Amino acid sequence: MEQQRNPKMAQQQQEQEELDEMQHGPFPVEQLQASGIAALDVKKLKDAGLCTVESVAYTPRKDLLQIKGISEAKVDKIMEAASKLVPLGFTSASQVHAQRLEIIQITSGSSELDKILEGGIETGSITEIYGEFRSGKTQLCHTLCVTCQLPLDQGGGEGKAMYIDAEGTFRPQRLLQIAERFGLNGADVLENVAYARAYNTDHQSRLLLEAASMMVETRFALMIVDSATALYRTDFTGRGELSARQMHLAKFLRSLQKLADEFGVAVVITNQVVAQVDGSAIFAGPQIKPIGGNIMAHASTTRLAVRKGRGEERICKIISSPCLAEAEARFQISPGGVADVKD
Amino acid sequence: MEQLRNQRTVQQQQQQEEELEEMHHGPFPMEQLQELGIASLDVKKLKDAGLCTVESIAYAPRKDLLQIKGISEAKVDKIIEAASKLVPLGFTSASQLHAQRLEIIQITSGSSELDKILEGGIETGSITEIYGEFRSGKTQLCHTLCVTCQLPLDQGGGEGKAMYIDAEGTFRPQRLLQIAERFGLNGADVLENVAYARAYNTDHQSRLLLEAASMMVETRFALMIVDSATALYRTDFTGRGELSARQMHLAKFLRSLQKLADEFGVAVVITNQVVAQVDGSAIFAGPQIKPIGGNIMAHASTTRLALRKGRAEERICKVISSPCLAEAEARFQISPGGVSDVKD
Repeated sequence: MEQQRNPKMAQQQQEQEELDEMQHGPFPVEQLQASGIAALDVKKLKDAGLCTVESVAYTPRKDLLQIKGISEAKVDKIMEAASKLVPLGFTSASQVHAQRLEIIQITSGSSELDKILEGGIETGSITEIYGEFRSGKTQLCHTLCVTCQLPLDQGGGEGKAMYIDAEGTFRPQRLLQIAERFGLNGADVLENVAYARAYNTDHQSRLLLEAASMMVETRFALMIVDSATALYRTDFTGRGELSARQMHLAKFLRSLQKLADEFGVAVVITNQVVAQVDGSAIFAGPQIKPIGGNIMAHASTTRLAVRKGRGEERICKIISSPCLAEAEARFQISPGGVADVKD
Repeated sequence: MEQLRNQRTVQQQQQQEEELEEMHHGPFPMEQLQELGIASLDVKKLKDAGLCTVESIAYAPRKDLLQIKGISEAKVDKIIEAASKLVPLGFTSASQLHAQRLEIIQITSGSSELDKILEGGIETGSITEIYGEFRSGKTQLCHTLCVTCQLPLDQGGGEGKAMYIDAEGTFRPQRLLQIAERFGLNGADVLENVAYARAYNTDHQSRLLLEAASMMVETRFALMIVDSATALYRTDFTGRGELSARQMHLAKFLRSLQKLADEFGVAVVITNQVVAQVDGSAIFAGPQIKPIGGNIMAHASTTRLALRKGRAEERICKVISSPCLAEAEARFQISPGGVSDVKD
């Protein structure tokens, strides 16, 4: 048995090496100094919210020109240095396929749900979960906060979680209960969740800048915004402010996508719904529609709709995904979070 | 019967090979200019400026050529003269044009119903715009075309590689593998033949087209997909104040796409997002869905297709605008093997 254990330790060493490789993911912006950019300019980039070389490479030129203290010639030099480190050209689909096979997927806690998601919540893209009240959105978020900390071979993400709460529904005691189910140390689990309460839509967007600087320091696997749209409903009211609301929301979602691209975190946002009450609905009942319009619809890569079943049962349906088929899965909300239905 | 079959296959193969060779001679590489007396140093300067074919020089206005560093006015005139000797720039008769158009390759969409209203499939050499709400099937159609463009000509394919510029992060190679299986193609080869790039902002999106042009000189591409052409514009440029800057940037981008279609004869397929028009008159009809990009987008795309969701896997495609296709609708289905006909 000793001999069997040793190869397992060698495996663990290999995993450590893989972890080291993965942690080299985003380049910290200080790396630009090696390409000849002055340390003062690097500090100005950091203060403007660009903490990684990737974020500098992904930013359009006109946004870089707006940073105080960096001249046009310097901007061109910085862009050239950044594009040498970050791949920005064409590759073949087979290379992309090989990369995608390594994408980490975080288990949702229910094997039925993982099955229709073909593994779990995907990192590196935005997953939107919408549904009425009591449909299980916040419970799923709490479960993911714990599962993202599990080791990779248990379906986890081996990283910390970030929770932006707009509705005041975050309950650390739930995290402790869920940690117990997975056999994790409750205190450690709580330590690994970075939490912030958002009080208005501007504050919600500002929190993302702070999030980016935190993600350079430590490895995060998950970013939750619960709910992304709640504050928009009351900060912007009426037809007159509709376009301002959509523009603000679009910028917020674009920043979330940038976080997903730079750091490879799984971004999960929950969305509220609106009931469409009109004449044709008398027969079918009021139609439930997620808010946010087309801006929201186009920004989220995967859209999941959850609704309540009988008792603790919930049903999740895949509404929109580039590669998953439309399917439904039943799960249950138990003391240990989201779990399979016990028949 | 054996003898008949052998003769026919040999003949067919010979014909196809000759046709392939003729098509490969399509765009002229820059080195042809050297034969007409242009110095190789100048040819290199033109290449560095992004002009990789003789066609691109012939199509570029004089003032753009004058802006290239190191090429004097006299040289520009000499270059333009040499280019116009190789590239037809004058009048022909409509019957000649008709004969040429009969040879245009059309790439099958995967659904014979959809091919019917498109009178063959997606046309090469022009821009086709596909718009629709989320989950209407735009990205799925793009993935299907990535595979069908690699099919042989007699199966409705384009016998060329595909290029995919992804602005939304929705490219899924595993879908390509599933679709390749349906058409009986080798999955690994299909993936190798798709050049993929992720676009992170609108400037980057435009820069990728320069790289695309230099790649297309080397190998034969049949398809160029930009999914979606307008997503990044919505957030890079915000508000009324930046509207004109956005439209100008978008117009330049679409013009570059049209140049690619003209030079290399690729089918350019772009997907577009939509905006819901909420106003008083919409109470009865529901919010009207309109593609974004305004008139710039509308005039640049040759063919406009609108997709919407039907029941379950069913989708409906409508021809909105085309110089020669009638307004018609077709139903298709999204299956594991991509876009296909509805199974009743």
